[in-house]
Amino acid sequence: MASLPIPQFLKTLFNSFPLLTYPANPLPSRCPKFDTTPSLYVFTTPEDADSGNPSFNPSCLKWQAYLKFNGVEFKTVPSNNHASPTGALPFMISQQKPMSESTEVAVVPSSKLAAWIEKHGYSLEVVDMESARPKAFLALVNSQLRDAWLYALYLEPNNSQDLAGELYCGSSVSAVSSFLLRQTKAAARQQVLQAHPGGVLDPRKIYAGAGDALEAISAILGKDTWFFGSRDPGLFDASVFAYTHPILNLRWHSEEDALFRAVMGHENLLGHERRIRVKFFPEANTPDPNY
Amino acid sequence: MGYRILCCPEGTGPSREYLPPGHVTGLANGQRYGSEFWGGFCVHRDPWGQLKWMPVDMTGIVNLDYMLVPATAQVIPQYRPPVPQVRSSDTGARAQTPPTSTSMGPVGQQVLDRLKRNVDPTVLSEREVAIRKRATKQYEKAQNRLKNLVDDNSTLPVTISLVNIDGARNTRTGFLRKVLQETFAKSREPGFTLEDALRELNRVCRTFYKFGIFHPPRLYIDLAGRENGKTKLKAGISLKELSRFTLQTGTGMGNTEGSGYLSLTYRNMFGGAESLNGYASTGTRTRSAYEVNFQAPINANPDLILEASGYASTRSHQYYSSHEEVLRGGKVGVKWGEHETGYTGVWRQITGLAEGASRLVRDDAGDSVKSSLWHTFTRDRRDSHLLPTRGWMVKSESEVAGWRGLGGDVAFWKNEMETQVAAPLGTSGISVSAGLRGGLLYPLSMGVGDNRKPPQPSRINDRFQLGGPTDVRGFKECGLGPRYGNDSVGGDVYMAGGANIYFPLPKVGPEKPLRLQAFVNSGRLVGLQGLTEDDGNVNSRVAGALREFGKGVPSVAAGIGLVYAHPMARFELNFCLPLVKRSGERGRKGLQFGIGINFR
Repeated sequence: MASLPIPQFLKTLFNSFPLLTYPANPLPSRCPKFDTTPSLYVFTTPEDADSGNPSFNPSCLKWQAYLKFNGVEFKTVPSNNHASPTGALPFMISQQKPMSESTEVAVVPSSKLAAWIEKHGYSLEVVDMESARPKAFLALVNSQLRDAWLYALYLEPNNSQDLAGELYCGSSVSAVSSFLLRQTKAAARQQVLQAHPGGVLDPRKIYAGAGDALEAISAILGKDTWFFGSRDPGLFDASVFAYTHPILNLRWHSEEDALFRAVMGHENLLGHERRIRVKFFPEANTPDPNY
Repeated sequence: MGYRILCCPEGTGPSREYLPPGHVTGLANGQRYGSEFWGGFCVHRDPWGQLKWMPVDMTGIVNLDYMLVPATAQVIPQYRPPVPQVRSSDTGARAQTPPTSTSMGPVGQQVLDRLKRNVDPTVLSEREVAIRKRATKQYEKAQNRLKNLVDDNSTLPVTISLVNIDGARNTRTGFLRKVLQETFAKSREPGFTLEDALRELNRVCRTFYKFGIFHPPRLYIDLAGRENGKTKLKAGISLKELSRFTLQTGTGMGNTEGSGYLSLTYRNMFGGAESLNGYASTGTRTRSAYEVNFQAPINANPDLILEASGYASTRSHQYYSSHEEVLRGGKVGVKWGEHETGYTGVWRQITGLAEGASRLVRDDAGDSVKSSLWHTFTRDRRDSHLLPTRGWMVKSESEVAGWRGLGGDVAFWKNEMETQVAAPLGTSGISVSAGLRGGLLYPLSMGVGDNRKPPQPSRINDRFQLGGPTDVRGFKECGLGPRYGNDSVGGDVYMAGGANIYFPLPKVGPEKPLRLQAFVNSGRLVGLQGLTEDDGNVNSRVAGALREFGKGVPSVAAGIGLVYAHPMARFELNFCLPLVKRSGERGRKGLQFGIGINFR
């Protein structure tokens, strides 16, 4: 907008208003208190958020675990996709100054979390994820394992009702829950169909793919403590843990627990999950192999 | 001896003040009785641009409740939609839609013939004045004569023996009978006079009109002999149904927003004045809104309406708190007179957050369900709600959400009160108005038994917002109250008030809805402090918030400006300066423009 020159006396007059300025209004009760500790917004329950327990969502858990590996001090906040700047969790908010001093708030989406961690000097010796080998294995996790996870959680009829519905579509009103669940299931189906074109999903094929992926991942881990023989856990360890932990912990329906059985078959992956859980999530639930 | 009465129910024409003679754009359905022209209905454009009906005589406009005509008069049975015409010249001659020639008597024919002839406008004008004068005299004389007749006979004991209703093709007989029930019952009582009969029948016509499914009804009365010492009356009500389907498109104006809409109405669905309405709109703030609405009078009473609706809308709150809200819900309610009460269940979704959205908005993002019972009461005695110059108004809105068995994710009691008074200062055309309002959101415990949860702090979509050009002038939209980063987060308690003085513009005069105004207004919006998830002590928090009002002067702004009350919306252009504010509150120095239908 073009600005007109304002005469000096008017400027002086304007500047003397308001005649009286009181301190700012205090915020209503629900407003978050200022805290320099970064907050990671994830899918989790309020109780688990308080005790820092693992998120039940693999994308969230991956970064939650990776931040823990790097010794970053943070807290988790229960949230949903609507809150995210990208439309998907997780994301991080770090605020260095109280709102009264600066309105600048860093909102870091998951795609920029690795860079953020590095920038904040937490970087430790990690395997170069860009090199060919880890990249290939990461692709295995992100496609085969992910598709089977989506299928098992959202598209198996009993699991979707009791697990996905409970975890992601909880509402006090059942009509809203079922509407949300229908939407979520449709989105999951869309995702899985991308890798299985043709419109028909064959669970045996999907689970077999996941079995092969787990087989390969188990083989690459071998007898090592962490993947690729590294001294400390890295992003790949976080990516695997992000699936193995929830797979082992969810109370799958007995008819629909193919993924659970597939992980149970790999002793070294169970050990990997246990090591991370004990070291970084001491309060997390222990999987019950007899369940 | 018999009378016929032409009935013109209240509300079928606008009030007189909107109708200077120049507004008359045509005469239609002129009635001829013998050799006298009695007047008829006139059609004119009201300030809304809508065609309106009103009874007229030859002198111009008279606001009549009914017109008496001799029984011998011949009345055109059909209601004919008028064709309004624009005045053809500035001679003061009124363009007229002539009455049908079949009903023409000698005088009317003469009038028409003279009008038809192409004559010099000034001559025409003179002639017309003369004709009108004559007709006026005749009309007045006849009207007085009949009025005296009715007055003389007003205590005549009568009974209504028959009411003949025609033209109600799609309306159920049972429904019509119910409307007439009370009138028949009353007419059988002893001491029922002609005056009572006229009043009752007039009321019936008003009732029919109020259902919104008929054109203005017409009433005829004839004598039907005598019985048991009472004069028997025979009444005829001529109805014409409005078309059953109406498709409307247009533009609307709300507070600080404009919109376009499409609406489809299915009137008189089951023959009992039920209506079904579908509505879709898109606007600058309410990005999209859809609604399906069903209304039906209960027990054939137009003042007791049952309403049920379902709706979905997306509304942008980006301008002051970086988010959009999607609503999907339903409502059932009953309207009676100034009251309305009902139940609302709505699923709200806070989504579409802006990049710079504050943590508070991010924390409140997502789904929540509100299940609430509500009641509103409005008593409006102002002469105009857009630019009141006299009268008063009180309004109260209460809502209980999530309490006990109501369910949903939020539980609170919310109450808002608003009052306004306006008064003219003598006959100068200057008037003053003052208003005061306040609101409180009181968190309640949710659920029953083991699921009982202590009162929870409020969410952003339940809290109040305050400030703006139609609200507390001199502050930006929702610019008052607590702020977090770039977002107005709203508050749980508010008080606001203001006073305006309106001056008519020189040369324009007080008749035009144009005024100069000077105002001072103020407001305070605060949040409940320190209420945590498992702390139940709401009373002390509310007391604390109320104490906050006592701390210093409320935020105040003053200014002067120009007000124009267009029938569709009120426009204001003000120069304003905030005098007192809280740090962070967004004042508006200098010019501020406001459009709205609901100015405070």
